[in-house]
Amino acid sequence: MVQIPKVNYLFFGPEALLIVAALVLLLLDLFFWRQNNRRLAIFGIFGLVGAALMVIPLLGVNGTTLGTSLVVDSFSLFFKMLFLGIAILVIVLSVDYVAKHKFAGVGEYYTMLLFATIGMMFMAATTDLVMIYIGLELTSISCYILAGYHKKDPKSNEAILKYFILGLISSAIMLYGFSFIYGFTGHTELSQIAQALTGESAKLAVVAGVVFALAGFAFKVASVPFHQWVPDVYEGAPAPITAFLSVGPKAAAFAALIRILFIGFPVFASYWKILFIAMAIASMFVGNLMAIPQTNIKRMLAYSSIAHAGYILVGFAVASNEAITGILLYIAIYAIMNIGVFAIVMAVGHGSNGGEDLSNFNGLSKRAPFLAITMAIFMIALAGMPPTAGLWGKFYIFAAAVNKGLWWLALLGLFNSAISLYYYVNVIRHMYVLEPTTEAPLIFPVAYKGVVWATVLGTLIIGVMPGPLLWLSTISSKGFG
Amino acid sequence: MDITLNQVLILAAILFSIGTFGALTRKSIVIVVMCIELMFNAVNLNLVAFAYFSGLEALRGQVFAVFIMVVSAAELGLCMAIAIMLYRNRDTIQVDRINMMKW
Repeated sequence: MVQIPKVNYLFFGPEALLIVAALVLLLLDLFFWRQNNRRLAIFGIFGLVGAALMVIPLLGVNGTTLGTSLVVDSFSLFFKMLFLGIAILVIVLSVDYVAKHKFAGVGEYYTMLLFATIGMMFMAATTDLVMIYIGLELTSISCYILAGYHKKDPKSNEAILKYFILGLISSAIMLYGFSFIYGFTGHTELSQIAQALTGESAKLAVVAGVVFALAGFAFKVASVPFHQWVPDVYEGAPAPITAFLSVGPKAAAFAALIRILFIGFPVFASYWKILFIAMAIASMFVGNLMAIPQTNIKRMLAYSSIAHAGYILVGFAVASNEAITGILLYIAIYAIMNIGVFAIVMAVGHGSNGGEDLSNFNGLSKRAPFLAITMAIFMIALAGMPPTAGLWGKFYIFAAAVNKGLWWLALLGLFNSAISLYYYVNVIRHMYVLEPTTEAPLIFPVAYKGVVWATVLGTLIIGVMPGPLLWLSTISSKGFG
Repeated sequence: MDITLNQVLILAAILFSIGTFGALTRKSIVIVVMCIELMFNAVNLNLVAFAYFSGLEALRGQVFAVFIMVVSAAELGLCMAIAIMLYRNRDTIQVDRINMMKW
């Protein structure tokens, strides 16, 4: 007799609503609002807001549904809200960009963004390796397509090719690891894997499986030595998609990694901590040092995002509950800062015919004082200076490292923040010291301005009082580490 | 002579290695992706073999393999689209000639 498990439909309400919204958007594009950019974008935003409203009744709930493939706890809700917020901001940023660059297939663009968001939500909300893989691939395939949306631009073509080939190889390696984990523990569910591993000495095959899986995830979070795709893809992809890639799929991969390591393999902590120490140090140094000579702002931000992945990986190397709170805080703050930076990059690009060179920022303080001052705030925030939110993200991770006796790792992190100050301040120098090539004031759409306002206020308010966000990350990280 | 789990695992490891080698050395996008498919198939072989020989939650490994097949079919479709797009814009699908961006 086959037993049909009880399904709690409310638990996957946000995902279900978003799937329906994405499919309806595709049909609306096909039959009614043929390529009507603004309407389709507004519909997409409504879908995301609806999904966010569906999350509200789940607050404070703990449970699983569909077997154990969908977990509802404060950790997954934290990430769901974060992803929905990111997706809303990215769609707002996309509207004018899509219109300016006359993308073919407007409906598919927003549908792919929604599907990527759904995949990210699944990744953060599951403890089953099969579901993690499905979520990861749903996100990745959507992101491959989005990265190549400038169909006529050879740079964008190159971006999608590199992202696609390297992404496939990394998921194959990750899956090879998953197959060993499944084979030698007999389970794909993380807590059952952990149970199967207790009481035995570490099995070599499972350790090998974990290492393979980590290699795959290191690719997705853009950590050295799997970082080569990052600068090329970030430079070639459309700017709103670069903003999305730098915060969305990366955060989702971090979420899945936290679940895998702290639920599935706490037994091997002494092994993977060493790996993370090495990856963190390498990512921080490579990211920061390679960012210095860059002249393309998107490429510079790509290397800076590798460095930021390094700071977050310090938290994994520490592996205490405090560190995971720091990681969640950092991911949320980084998302706010980075989307703001990309909004400014797009505004400058809009006013100077798609120019993404640092020289386009020359004398920005005279052409667009608002953008210049906010960009300066974001640069200071990314370097981790007070009074901005960037300080607190670094502070909590490094404090956790010091408390666990890894003070030298925290010191290396601080040293790297000092290096990063060089290239962040260089942008400020371009805006305030150098003379502009043209005196004409920069004209850019109001949507960019709105996103910049929202993110800059977020950065400053969290910088002055990190309390609420810290409280959220503390309750969300409960039980890990 | 019965086939043992070890033999299947070794076969899968060989397939995976051939796939990795091909993906890293071949120049045509289509062949690179074929080699990557070989890597995925090594994984599928692993999963099905583990499920068959362990008997524990046997279905789970096989279902996982089916999921992987479906996803890699989608990826293959995307690969063809990329190859056609590249050929239109750059007149080549050799990966070593697509090198505008470095460092």
